[in-house]
Amino acid sequence: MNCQEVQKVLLPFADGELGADEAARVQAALADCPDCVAELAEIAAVRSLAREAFEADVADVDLGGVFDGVMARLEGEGALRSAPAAAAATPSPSQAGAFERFSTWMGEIFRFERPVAAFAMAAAVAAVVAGVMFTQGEGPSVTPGATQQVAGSQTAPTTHPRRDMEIEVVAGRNAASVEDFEAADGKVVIDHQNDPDTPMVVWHIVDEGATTTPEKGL
Amino acid sequence: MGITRRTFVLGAALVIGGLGVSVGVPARADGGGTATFDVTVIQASKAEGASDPALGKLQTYLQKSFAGYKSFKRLDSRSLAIAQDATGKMPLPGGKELELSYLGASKGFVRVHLTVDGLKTTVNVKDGGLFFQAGRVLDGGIMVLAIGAQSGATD
Repeated sequence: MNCQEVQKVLLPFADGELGADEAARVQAALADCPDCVAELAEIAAVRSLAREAFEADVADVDLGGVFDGVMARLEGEGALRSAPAAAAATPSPSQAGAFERFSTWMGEIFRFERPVAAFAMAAAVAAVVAGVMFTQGEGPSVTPGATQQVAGSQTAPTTHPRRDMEIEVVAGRNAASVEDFEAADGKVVIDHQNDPDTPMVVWHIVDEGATTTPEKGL
Repeated sequence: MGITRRTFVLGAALVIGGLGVSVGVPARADGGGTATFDVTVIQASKAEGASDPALGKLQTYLQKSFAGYKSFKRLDSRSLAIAQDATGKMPLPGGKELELSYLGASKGFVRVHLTVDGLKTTVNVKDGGLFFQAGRVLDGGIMVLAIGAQSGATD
């Protein structure tokens, strides 16, 4: 067999679909055709990728109909002829081009595994979206080098949790912000200094008459 | 000879799909694990007094954040190692109790929920940084809690 003949039957050879004699001839010819060996390796590599992509999700899927589907499609395309004359004039299934055979084979895989493929695609998209939300949805809003938007003391009602207290702070050593707070009584004062290295103070003042107010303390 | 176009496209699609999944679900680079909270209980007074050497570096921060107070005395100091979503407790003067819940670390900040004597608040503090909670009257002065937060994350 020459190189062209070998390459035409590489896919069925890889599939183990060739007869023993023909397989032996291909095997012998491979020794003299580095290109054929390379193409065979390429086929194996692509199948390995496909197998890794689907193996985890299709364990319960019956692949038994794939080959039948390939044959039926080839018949529909006229690639299979039963008459000897037609066989002589037209390449046999095993002699169909490697490219066409592989294309058909993959087409059948996707046709049978369309739900799995759709699930895999949806999972990939969901994972990307979740990843973006995960990386952007956490942590305080910090703008390095930005000026502090809330400086000095800030007084707010304390009987309800607040969600509007997040502020932008300079990313200094002791940068901090209050995400929410709730106090049963008294008042809460969030004391940010202009210096981001100066620690924030969360004041909780219950006794207004005592000498504990930050205004008196500052 | 060589890689056919369709083969290349198929292989590329599979590789890109795999990369999409791996990029879309990033490993949690920081957060999780355990954080260490160094809590120091301090009495701040407006009366003149000697500085407490036990406060160490805290002295400088106290003077900045509590400019109206003249003296600071360390009453207690503890280090609480708290797992994520767990709560650590520490007794305070006057029969009070401090509760700290480590909520995770992200983008170089530690998220902590604090409960002390009727106050509940959630604070985001720079990893390795410090914040104060204050306001309670204590022996003629006020009680100050210095809370340093350090996650186990490796950014």
